Amino acid sequence: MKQGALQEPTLLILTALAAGAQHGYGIMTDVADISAGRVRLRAGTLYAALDRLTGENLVQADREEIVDGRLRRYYRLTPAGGQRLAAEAGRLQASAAIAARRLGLRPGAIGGLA
Amino acid sequence: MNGGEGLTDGGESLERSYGRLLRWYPAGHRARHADEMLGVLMAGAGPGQRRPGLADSASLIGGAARIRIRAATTGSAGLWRDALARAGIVLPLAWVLLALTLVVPGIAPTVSLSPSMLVMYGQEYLPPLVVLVTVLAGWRRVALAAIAATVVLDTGNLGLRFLPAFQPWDAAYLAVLGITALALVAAPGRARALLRWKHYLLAVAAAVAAGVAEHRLQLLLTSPQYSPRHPGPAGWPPAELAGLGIVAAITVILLVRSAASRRLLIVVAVPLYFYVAVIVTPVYRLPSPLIYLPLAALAAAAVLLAVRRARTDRRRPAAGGSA
Repeated sequence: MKQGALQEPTLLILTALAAGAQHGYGIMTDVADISAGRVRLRAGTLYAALDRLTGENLVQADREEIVDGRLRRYYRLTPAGGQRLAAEAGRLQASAAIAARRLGLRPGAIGGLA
Repeated sequence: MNGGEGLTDGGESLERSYGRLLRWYPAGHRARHADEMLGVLMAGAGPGQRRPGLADSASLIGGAARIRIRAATTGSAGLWRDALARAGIVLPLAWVLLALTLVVPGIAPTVSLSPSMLVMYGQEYLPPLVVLVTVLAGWRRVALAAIAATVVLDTGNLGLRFLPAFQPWDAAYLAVLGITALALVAAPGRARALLRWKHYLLAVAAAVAAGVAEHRLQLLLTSPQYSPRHPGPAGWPPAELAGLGIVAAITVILLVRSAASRRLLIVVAVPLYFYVAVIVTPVYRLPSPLIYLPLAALAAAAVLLAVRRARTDRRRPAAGGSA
């Protein structure tokens, strides 16, 4: 079945989890880093996205810790989440390559694009 | 990161405020994630912050709304189908009972049961009775044909010829027939398995009570003593008012207490809207857009349902339909 493009916050959350399990605040700071500060996720947006991604079996809870008396839950990509992120990365890469070619740019000329 | 290291007064106040915002979330989500989310929110708070920022508050309320909408619309297709199936029997049953209250002595205010009046009522209410009987009997195709025939035969009343004269009563009738047809198409044969005698009893009690209330209100609203500025229950026999109140309270409590019946309430909202409009129209005239908009919404829902069903059927070509 053909899948639609991921929205940017969703893409960034999956990207943040691609390197390993992270807790909510870790995902928020990582997303800010990945997007060079352009996207700043709020807790409401993050947990609504996690709720949806968990429901779609793209993300799952990994483990829980108690830190300073408070629950900290870690999330990780599921295999389906990894495949979905890889497919989206490939799609974006192909689009970027076509855009660069049509602009007559050398590979790597725009922000490190291949 | 502010963490949870020994909260100051300001920190406690901020945490309480975040806690209040988290009450927007469904109970199940709150039970699983509230502590975790509080940790994230407090970790992201600025030094000395005492109140949630506007962006955080909007994000939490928006997130809660998205989660509630998703919970109501996904994974619950079966509940919606069941609600539609129930509405497919409850609505024509209620319609026929409302019609009966018109000819029961002592309920309807102006009825004289002359042969010509009975013929007139028969012409108006026999078709829905045929629809109800065929639906209850499970004769799906006959019921659909009866609905189609009713709409065609009643074209004049239903406004295609006399569009300016289109009234809430016609709209309610059209909505009842439309939802019954949708139920026959989308959830064939389910309602009789879902409905128990107590459901029929409740539907009968609610419909008769609505009929009694309708006639009494029509009488009160159109009496010379009535003033829209003082719409009190004056002139309403206390015993009747108490009885109707009890039936209404039981109906509302039973309808809102389960997810399936709440959906039934949403499915019957359009005809219910027009029915209320019928009652208040003698005094509060309904602007025409308010007649057409809910019908347009119902038609849009029917189209979406048809498209969804067609797509489902395309993905499962081997699945057969039921007659």
